[in-house]
Amino acid sequence: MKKCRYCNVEVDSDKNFCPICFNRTDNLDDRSTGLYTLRKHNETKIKSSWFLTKLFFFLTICTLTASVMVNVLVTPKSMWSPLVVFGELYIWVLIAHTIMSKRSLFEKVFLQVVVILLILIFAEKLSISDWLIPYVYPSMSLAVVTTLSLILIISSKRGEYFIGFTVIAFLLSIGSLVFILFSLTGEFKLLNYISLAVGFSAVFGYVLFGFDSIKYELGKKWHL
Amino acid sequence: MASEKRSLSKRKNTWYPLDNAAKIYPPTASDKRAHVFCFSAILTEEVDPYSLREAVVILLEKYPTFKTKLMRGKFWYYLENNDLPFKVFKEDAYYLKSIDHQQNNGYLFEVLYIRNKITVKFFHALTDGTGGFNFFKSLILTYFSVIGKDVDAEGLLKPIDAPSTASEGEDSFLTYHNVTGDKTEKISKPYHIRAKPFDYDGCGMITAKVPISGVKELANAANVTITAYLSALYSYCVYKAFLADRPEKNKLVTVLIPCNLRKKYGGETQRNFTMFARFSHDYTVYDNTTVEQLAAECQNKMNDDLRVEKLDKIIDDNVKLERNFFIKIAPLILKDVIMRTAYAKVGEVLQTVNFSNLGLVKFPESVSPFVKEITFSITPTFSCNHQTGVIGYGDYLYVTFARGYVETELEKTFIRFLTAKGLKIEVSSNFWESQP
Ligand SMILES: [Zn+2]
Repeated sequence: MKKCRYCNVEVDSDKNFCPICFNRTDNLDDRSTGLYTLRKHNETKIKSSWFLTKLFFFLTICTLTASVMVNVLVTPKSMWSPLVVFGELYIWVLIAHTIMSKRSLFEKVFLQVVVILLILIFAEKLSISDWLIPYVYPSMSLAVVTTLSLILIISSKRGEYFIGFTVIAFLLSIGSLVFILFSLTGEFKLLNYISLAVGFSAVFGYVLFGFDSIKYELGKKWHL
Repeated sequence: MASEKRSLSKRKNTWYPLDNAAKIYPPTASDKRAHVFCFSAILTEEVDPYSLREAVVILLEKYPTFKTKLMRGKFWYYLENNDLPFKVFKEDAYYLKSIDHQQNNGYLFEVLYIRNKITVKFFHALTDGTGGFNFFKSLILTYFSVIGKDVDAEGLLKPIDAPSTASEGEDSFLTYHNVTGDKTEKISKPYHIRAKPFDYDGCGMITAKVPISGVKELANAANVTITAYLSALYSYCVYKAFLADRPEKNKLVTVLIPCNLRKKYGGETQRNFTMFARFSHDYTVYDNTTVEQLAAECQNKMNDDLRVEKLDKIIDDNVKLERNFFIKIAPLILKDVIMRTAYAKVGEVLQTVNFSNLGLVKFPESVSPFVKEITFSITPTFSCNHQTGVIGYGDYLYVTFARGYVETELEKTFIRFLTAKGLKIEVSSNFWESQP
């Protein structure tokens, strides 16, 4: 027990200063109830902030500007950039509604189906099937893998995400692999090669860095 | 055996709608607004976590509304029977953080222990302070009976072997409301405390152990109740700490004072059954009003706000809203948005601080020798970043301030005011502002 002569109170603590006026206290005795558990070390737990959201918003704007510029300057005859816009919106839905939320499976699947259908109708309307596989798919895939990697780097709950993200990156790169193997990409194969390489590197990286988390999550959720 | 099986399968399908007041909590809860309150008891001996868990398991059978998880329906949230095992956790420094429902198997309350301290944390959608405290009291009683102490309920609380009754799970707002012609009062937006928030999670806690006799003398001298006196002092301290020397435009300080409706309307529900008195005082032209004068003003406001006719009107409005056809048929996603918007307009923005006094609590005589201290605390939120819980136990009043920002000016003013009146006060803190 300590005594603060400025506040004229007794302080139940081991510390030698007053918790309300921060002046030095006098020692009365070593008795202490310990009503509260004190922080043991400097917490690294930073307040959850809008940083992630802002970052994604910024990246979205950058990608959109870049793709519209490329579209207008390089391939003005075919307007494929609206699809990228739609794709970016889709990524937002994917992250906010499907990956990061605790909604019911039904709602998640339902919204996914609706959004994918909309994208397909949109693609059909623009008749850009020539652009879909060589440009849009690999760009989307790269954007998704970049986003997932950023989440893993920044998020404090990354341990829970490793398995799901590994599966997504794997499936995306398999897509590119299929397009290349069956020559569906037309003349322009570069973006799909990049998507394939980045996707597989991501899978490798996630498994390498997240091995312990993946093992733990597999044990916890599937009792493997 | 057969009947046991039947009762089990019958239990599986049990579900409860949220009570009228609880409906606002799930959509508006977030990391920044936990809607959580907490009771802690300091015992005379070390807590045994296994016995504590066993006590909770025994108790859950008697309090079926607590043995639930929160579910999203298509139109409303509801509580559904929860058969997952209950876990107790070791308390960490993050005293009032929101309940991790995933880690907790979905239960809407959490039981924590450390050394000789038991803490129970409730999500407000489940129950209010009085309901929560009844559960907490029963838990302490059951815990002592599990570890082999010779304890008895002595008529003060639910006996260990008593079953649950239907009235404990009822929504008393629906049971007791009457239609009256009272007018709805217009409430202006008060000042909100502006101070530097912590740059990490968690909140600062300071508990002042104040002799009841001393506070009672002060309240008697002003001819008001203890709640009115301390609320007035609280309001005065907000002014002194944050408004006196600052050029704030809005100097209206509103203290929200929850009141237990069971005392007014009767009933023994374990769900929410609370209404509020709102004491507002404008300090723009401060003419040296004394705390005693403020207390008298506060007492009048409390008497007026807690008139049965006025309460009836508010409850009736809320129940009507719930029964409104368009509200009823709105899907939950839409309701979430409506509720969040409504809460942003008429929720905690209409209060500066919250002062909740549970009054003097008693444990059975066979239990109280083992319980040294009791505290009651409420999480501060983003816009109502200072909240105070008060509970009287033994000869002391435990006043627990929880704040979401660094400075302790308000606490200092409050406590120094009381010590200047000659009260002997003991202070505990979690030292959230200082480097460990
Ligand atoms: Zn001091």
